Amino acid sequence: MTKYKTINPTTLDEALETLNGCNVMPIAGGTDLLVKFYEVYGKSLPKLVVLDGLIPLHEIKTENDRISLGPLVTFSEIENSPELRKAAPQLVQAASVAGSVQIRNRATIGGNIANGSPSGDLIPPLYVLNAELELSSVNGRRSIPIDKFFKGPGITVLEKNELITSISFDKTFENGFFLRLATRKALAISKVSVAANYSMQNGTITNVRIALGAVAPTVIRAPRTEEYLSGKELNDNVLSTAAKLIKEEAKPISDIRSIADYRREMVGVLLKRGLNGIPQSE
Amino acid sequence: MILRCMKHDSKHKIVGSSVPRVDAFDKVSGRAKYAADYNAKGQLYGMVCYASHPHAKILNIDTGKAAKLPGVRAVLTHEDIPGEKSFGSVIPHQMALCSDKVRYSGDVVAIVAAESIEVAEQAIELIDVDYRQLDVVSDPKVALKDGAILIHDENNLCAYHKVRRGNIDEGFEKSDVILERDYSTSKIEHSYIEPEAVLAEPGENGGITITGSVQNLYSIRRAVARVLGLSLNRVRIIQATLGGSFGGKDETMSALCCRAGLLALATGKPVKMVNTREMSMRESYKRHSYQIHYKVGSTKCGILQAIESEIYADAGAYAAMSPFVTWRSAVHATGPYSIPNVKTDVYAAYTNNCYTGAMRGFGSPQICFAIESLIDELAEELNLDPLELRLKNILKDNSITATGQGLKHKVSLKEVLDNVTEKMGFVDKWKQNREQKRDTAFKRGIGISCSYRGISLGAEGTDAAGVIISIQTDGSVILSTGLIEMGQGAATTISMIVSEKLGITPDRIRFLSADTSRSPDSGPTVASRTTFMAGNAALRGCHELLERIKPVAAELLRCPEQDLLFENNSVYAPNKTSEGDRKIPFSELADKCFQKGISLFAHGWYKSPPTTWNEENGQGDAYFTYVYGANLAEVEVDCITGNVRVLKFISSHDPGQIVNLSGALGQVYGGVIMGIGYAMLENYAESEGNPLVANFDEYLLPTACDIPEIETTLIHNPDELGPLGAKSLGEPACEIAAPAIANAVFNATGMRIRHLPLTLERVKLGKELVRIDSRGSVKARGG
Amino acid sequence: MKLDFVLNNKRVSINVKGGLRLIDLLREQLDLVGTKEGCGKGECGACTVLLDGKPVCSCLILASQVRNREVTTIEGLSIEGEMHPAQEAFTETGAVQCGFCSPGLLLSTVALLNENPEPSREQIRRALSGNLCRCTGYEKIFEAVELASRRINGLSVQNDKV
Ligand SMILES: Cc1cc2nc3c(=O)[nH]c(=O)nc-3n(C[C@H](O)[C@H](O)[C@H](O)COP(=O)(O)OP(=O)(O)OC[C@H]3O[C@@H](n4cnc5c(N)ncnc54)[C@H](O)[C@@H]3O)c2cc1C
Ligand code: FES
Ligand code: FES
Repeated sequence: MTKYKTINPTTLDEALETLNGCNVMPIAGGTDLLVKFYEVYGKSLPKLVVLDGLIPLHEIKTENDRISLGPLVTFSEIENSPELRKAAPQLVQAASVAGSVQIRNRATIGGNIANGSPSGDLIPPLYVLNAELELSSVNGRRSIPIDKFFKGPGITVLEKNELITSISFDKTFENGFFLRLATRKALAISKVSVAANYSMQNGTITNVRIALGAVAPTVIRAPRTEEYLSGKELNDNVLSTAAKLIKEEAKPISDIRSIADYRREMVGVLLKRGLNGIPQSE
Repeated sequence: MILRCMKHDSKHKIVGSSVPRVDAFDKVSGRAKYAADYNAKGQLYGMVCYASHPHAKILNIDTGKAAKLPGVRAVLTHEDIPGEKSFGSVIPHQMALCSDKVRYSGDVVAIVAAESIEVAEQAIELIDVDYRQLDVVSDPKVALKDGAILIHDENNLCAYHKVRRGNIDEGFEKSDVILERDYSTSKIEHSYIEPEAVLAEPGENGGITITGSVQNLYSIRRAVARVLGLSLNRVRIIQATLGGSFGGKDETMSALCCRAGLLALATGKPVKMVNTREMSMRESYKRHSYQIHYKVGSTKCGILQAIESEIYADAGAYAAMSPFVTWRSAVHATGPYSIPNVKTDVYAAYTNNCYTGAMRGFGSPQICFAIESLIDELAEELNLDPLELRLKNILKDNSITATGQGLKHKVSLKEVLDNVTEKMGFVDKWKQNREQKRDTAFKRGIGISCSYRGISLGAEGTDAAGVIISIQTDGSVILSTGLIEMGQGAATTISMIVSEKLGITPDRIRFLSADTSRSPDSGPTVASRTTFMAGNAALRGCHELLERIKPVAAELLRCPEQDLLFENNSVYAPNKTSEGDRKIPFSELADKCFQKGISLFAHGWYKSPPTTWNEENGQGDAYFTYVYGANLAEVEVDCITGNVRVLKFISSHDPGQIVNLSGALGQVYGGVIMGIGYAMLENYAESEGNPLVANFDEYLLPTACDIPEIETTLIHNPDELGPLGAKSLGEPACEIAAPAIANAVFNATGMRIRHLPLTLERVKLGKELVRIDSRGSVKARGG
Repeated sequence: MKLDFVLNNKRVSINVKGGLRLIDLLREQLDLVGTKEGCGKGECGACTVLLDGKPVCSCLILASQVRNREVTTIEGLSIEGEMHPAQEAFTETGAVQCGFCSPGLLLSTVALLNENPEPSREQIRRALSGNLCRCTGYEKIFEAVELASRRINGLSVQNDKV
């Protein structure tokens, strides 16, 4: 049994003020933090600033074609949001395959981003949506594109006293998908994932953005593949070339969840399947 | 769920029907008390200090700082042990607290009792142990080489068993086709969802009472008495509701009970110890990983001539049940086939890996995977279909087994095989699948497997069990036995047998949880022996009671004893004349007997029929009877990602007589799914003696989304030795799931996978996941 | 620290030490030991309770995170001694073996049936995939959920017990 010291702010200002102290850190759903807390922090446990009470940070807002999500929006809320289903299908697909019901009911989008894992399932969709993160602290606010946020596995640009306070993006182009592979059919972490956002015009693909999860120290975009694909007709040849290209863009390692060779191979497979409209196999 | 029950009999009233579990109500209401739910006033919390290395000499243990921490009540090392420092049912060398050296990473060097868990944890951090690291032995084959580093004082051979039949060289000479293959299986954690827990309370006059998640009360009591230096009658072990065991809560619990007992005696206070999942994974024994080499010879037309096998089991640091587990492997190594020439050698070797012991299947899942894959490989070589080759060679009535035992009961192998294959049109499907286009991504496959299984302990050990039946004056009944309820439904099964015999309804029977101070030592609840042994003992007890109460009933009802009918909580004198049935309530009879001073208490004792074993030539009547089972798996393989989906499973078994139908099905489903986990997901990976998985995030069990539709067919084939004809069920279902799946994957893809588990990477690339250190870098091992 | 929340339909106001996990608050301080701990890492679901009607792992929530919210544990499922139809169905179909997973599975089941009174097999599988059961092979659990669903919807329940 582990006892944690907690503080329960009710306003954002109060939360930011508290976070400005030393040896404190925020807790949202706790599904990452409480799992590894003890191992990582050992005996000098930081005080936890419980974010649950910050009501405005739970909201999903739509203004014209711009969506903004509070960092405390949960995977379940994303999964069940009719607006998001239209505006960000890749994000909804990712939220609905992750974890279990219990985890999705608690896991937040802000926690998924701040945790900074290359296998965080919401991150590749946010990459292809070109999401902007709003970071706040007692010193003010700044805005940063998601692909500038991560430095390495678990390492981000977030300052100790900063909170992610909003995640916003434009509505997707008309097509998008998220596909992943994992050892089990449920309750499993991705071995590899691919998200995309693109338009089709007269049979050719345009505006294509592709991001890859769990195949590099951070989630990455696949710029060469994107460039190759744009303006192409989607036929078997094009798909095969794209699959080959994207394999070169992945920089996977081997770990307990998979083997580098396998991951590299599968990036291509998932891209092809996604573009061919083959759904996530459960 | 579809169930076809063959030839269901109507001879019995209760036995053979579906009865809700007698303990289900408490369990669904959250009221059932599991070990960690017990607390005692003023209790302390115990914690262990694990070995820092898998293999090292202990130079010094300094507990000074820990002992001074406020809130700490005791810090103990081997020096504080009043009795022997070690225990073990077969070889008593497992250390309660290590003295000279540590042999695996789950070994414990010191223990602490403190006023809170936090303080206990802090105290553990303050214990300083100096080690001199020793080289680690992690491969059982390497462990047996000359000059290998020794784990114990003598060589690293933990157990060796052989079977010899006919002349193996002649057998291969007569063979037209000879095949040699290597297989391996992974180490498996029982993964009962309840981690181990105990509460030890010092009793009067220096004794101790321990309530815990214990499977084998008596072996645990022996260990505790030995280590605490107490006589057996001063150690009382009480079983809490058990949150799963599958063979796993034996030696691990002995160790935990010894440690909690030591702390309780040292402090004079109740001590509670609850393992986290990480501790359980690190410390508790596992199912052995095996490395198996087979050589099989057959005539052109598929008549098996010879099987030679060499099998290495990783026993880990301590013997535990390894000698028995590997003996079962030796007896069953050639599968359910008639083979005139057999040479089997099974070795269990000590290593610095986590030790291994009893787990559902008990030495058979490994063997079944290998032999049933091998038979399919041979069929391929001979251009026969897998069913045809099996049918040509399976054991039949009066066949002689590899150990020279003639089978005198009805052998139902053909029936179970027919059951799983006929409905699916196995052979046609199997042939069609082979014609699938090479470039389709998703391919179907179908595979079968079968087994025979000796029930109960066999020549592994003395086999006897007792059941106490006590009729109360209101006609209700209390049952107790040393064989225990561990989730498998034993309480319900035994209650049903007694209910059948005494003619009272199951709700009038209470099955007490086991307690060493009131139930007889009945040996271990393992090897699918509970129904058979306790069932027979219960029958004897009932018989004894009936002998005593029948005369009273006959007198009351004025009818001859042999006409009496015990049914529906009443005793009837059936209508012979026109005046109608006469009856009295069972409760009235019980009360009358009591008033007449007739004992309403019986202790039914049953000793198994004889078995024999000759260590010299590896021959004997290994088990007194066998059960038979067959499985069929249908899979879809995504050839591009290596993802295997098990679509359908058919499982057919011969449990003799079904006692509780719903319980029987539960055993089959649970067994099959555990087998699917073995086939597809589970692997307790270790590297140089260090475990690479710590919790269920890395040790993956099947979830509700990972399982196929399962169809079960049970054969009604009462065994003359079984209680009312019943034999057993829980283990056969589990042991043959993996080979059926591997055979189905071959049928789909033409790729033979000889190593478990069948992860995506293995199916796609033929490589397994091996992490070399806990930082996350790994190498892929070809395989 | 004072904590107010609703537990099994009753208001609770309690002093909790530091920020312990919800499961510890329930088991150690409130003596509600029906909630089980199997892994402490969100992987097994034995600790499942309902938070505002939704299943969550009580091993991954701090007690202070349930402030002013509603928590339901297995002890709160039966109302005045009367079992929830799901509890009855679990008992009757043989969905319970060792029972260690049962409280968590029942809460997941109740949440599912509240949201979707007639779930398909696939929906049941998905809803229960966060609850590991090592004993039953899940099949009987699926049957129990289906039986409970029929009872709740007042559909005629053919006696399909085997
Ligand atoms: C059983 C299980 C299964 C899982 N399966 C998946 C899966 O399939 N896919 C997946 O992607 N993840 C999975 N996860 C991981 C986890 O659930 C997600 O990463 C989740 O999004 C984390 O969110 P949280 O709110 O729980 O974060 P927390 O644990 O509360 O926080 C995580 C980190 O982020 C920081 N943080 C949280 N919110 C903010 C904020 N607003 N601003 C700044 N910092 C913040 C915290 O300080 C902490 O360092 C799983 C976890 C478990 C236990
Ligand atoms: S104990 Fe909480 S999920 Fe296992
Ligand atoms: S009944 Fe034992 S874990 Fe589910």
